[in-house]
Amino acid sequence: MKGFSDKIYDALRSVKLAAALIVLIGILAAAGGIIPQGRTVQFYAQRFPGTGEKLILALGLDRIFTGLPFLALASLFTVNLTICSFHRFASEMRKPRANRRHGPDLLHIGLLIFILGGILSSRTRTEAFIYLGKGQAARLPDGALLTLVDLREERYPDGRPKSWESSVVIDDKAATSLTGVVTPAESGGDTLGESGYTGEDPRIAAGGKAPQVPTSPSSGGAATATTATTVFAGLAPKAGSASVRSIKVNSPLRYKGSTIYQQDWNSELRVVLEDAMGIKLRLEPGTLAPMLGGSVRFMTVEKHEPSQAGAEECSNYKAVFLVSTAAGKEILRAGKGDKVGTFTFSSFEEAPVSALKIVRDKGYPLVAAGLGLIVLGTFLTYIRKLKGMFA
Amino acid sequence: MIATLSFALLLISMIIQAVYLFRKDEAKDPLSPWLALGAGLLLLAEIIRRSVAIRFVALTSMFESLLFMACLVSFIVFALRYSKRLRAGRAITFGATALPIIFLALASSPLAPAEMRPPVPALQSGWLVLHVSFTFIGEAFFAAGFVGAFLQLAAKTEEKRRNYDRLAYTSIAIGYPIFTAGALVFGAVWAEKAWGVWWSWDPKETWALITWLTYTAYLHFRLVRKNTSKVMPILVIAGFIIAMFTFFGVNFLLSGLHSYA
Repeated sequence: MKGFSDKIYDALRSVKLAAALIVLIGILAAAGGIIPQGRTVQFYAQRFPGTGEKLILALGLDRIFTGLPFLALASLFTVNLTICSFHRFASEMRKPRANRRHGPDLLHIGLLIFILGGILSSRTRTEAFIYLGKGQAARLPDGALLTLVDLREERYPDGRPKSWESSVVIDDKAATSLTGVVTPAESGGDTLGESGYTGEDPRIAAGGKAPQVPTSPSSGGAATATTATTVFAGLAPKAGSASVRSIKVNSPLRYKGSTIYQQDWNSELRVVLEDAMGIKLRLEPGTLAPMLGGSVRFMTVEKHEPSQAGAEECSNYKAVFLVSTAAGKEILRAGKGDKVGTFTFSSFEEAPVSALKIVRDKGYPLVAAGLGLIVLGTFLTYIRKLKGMFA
Repeated sequence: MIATLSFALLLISMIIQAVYLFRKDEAKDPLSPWLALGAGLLLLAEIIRRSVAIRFVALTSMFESLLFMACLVSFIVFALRYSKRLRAGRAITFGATALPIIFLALASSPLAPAEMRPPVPALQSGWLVLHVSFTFIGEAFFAAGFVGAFLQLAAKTEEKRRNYDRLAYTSIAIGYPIFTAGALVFGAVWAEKAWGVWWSWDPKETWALITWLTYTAYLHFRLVRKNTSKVMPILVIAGFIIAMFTFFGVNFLLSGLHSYA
């Protein structure tokens, strides 16, 4: 006569339970595959007006894969898989060596490692996006300085992109490379640019300080967009301190626990200012130029997305500056030829920028190992069928 | 042109098989499997020609995917006839021959433009080639399983049901590890390399997972139910319908990262 705990154990390790859970997870996944996930309330109201919208939101069908029913089923499946794997492996080990079949064991253990990796990844993964022009730099989470030394774009004759490649230098002794930095306090105490006028891409001009890339945890597999504060120009690392490395789409750069991906490619407008000596200074949105008695920060192009308009088209647009002097701060909208502090606004200029995604994920090795074992396990399980096809 | 020629060969093969289907003896025609093989080889030659032209493995558009799928199923039609293990009957090869004809008909539709375009950066990956080719090889076996399961449901004698069940199971058991490696594992590795994320619940990914879960459920049901149960062929049929929805339906009905394939 079996005791209660034995019955529970048998139920939890049963193939019937596994099959039922697989079907139920499949049904929920199908609902998640049909109903767009993670959209706004307005989206569902528009797409599924009336009862549909109410039902979706009330039942949490807009976030199925992070919802309680899906996670509960996945958890129960994990328990079933763990007990089943242990039980099966023990049974196989009792058989004579020649009769053992470990394919399903490897497959199940691979799935468990994959699930563990996924959980670890969801808890520890951080993502950050940085947008760098040639010569600009950003600090990586470990403190090293990443400088974009070159960016190349190739296109097919029909205009579609052929390749995007960023050449970067990572200098882990970067603190010694940054000599003569001007901190925000030294540049007139202007810290507005740290968060940015538009909140999009705050930067500091030549000689500025390079703050850390802000990272944020990603949730539910969704990418978390975070912009980084960067340094503009003139930050070539000291000779011998670092080598040039390439980042391409499908060929990310792995560096000390971080992986850097070539995520996108774009161009942005920058302004050209001219000082009294006729020397030209180029500023990206958010960057700052020191001047006698204060500083000038280029904030944005008024009313238009800088990245969507060409330099020629923008020639009549206004550039918005924050001019900081001892007398105070002033927001200034300037057109071509206007005075901006001690500078003259000369022109707009288009410059390519490389969008890099920086990921730190402690679950990576487990996920990779789990996937490897899943492949090995499934092939070992059904290899007899594969071998016997033409037998 | 080559695709049209392949289509014609498959059509002739099917007509010959249809004639033999109505014969009362068990004789099999000697020509139709060779016509299917010829069609498959022609399609393979076309894929190679396109690959040379775009300097990358030509598996990056809907048209090329359909050609590849038709090519694989044509080879399986040939294998079905000559594999002693599968021992497929005339009805099976007849049904299986219909599938590449349907794929080629779809390839000729405006839904699948035939123009040759070299791939954009995200598609220039060896992992993509493994992902797509393994997925389609797996699905080609699922196609054979689908025909077997369909005939299993329609069979009137227990012996025929068992034969069709054996063929369906063998096809799924061969296709399953290949599909698992291609659709899920190599796809995840490619996504990690290209976008920095293994899995993003993109509609195509979700539906590929549902396809995998359906066949996984089938393989588990086989362990606990008699092989004469109707649940099994129904799962195999459902699995293939879901696989085809993942292949075509998701592209046109649901937007996501895989909108090019």
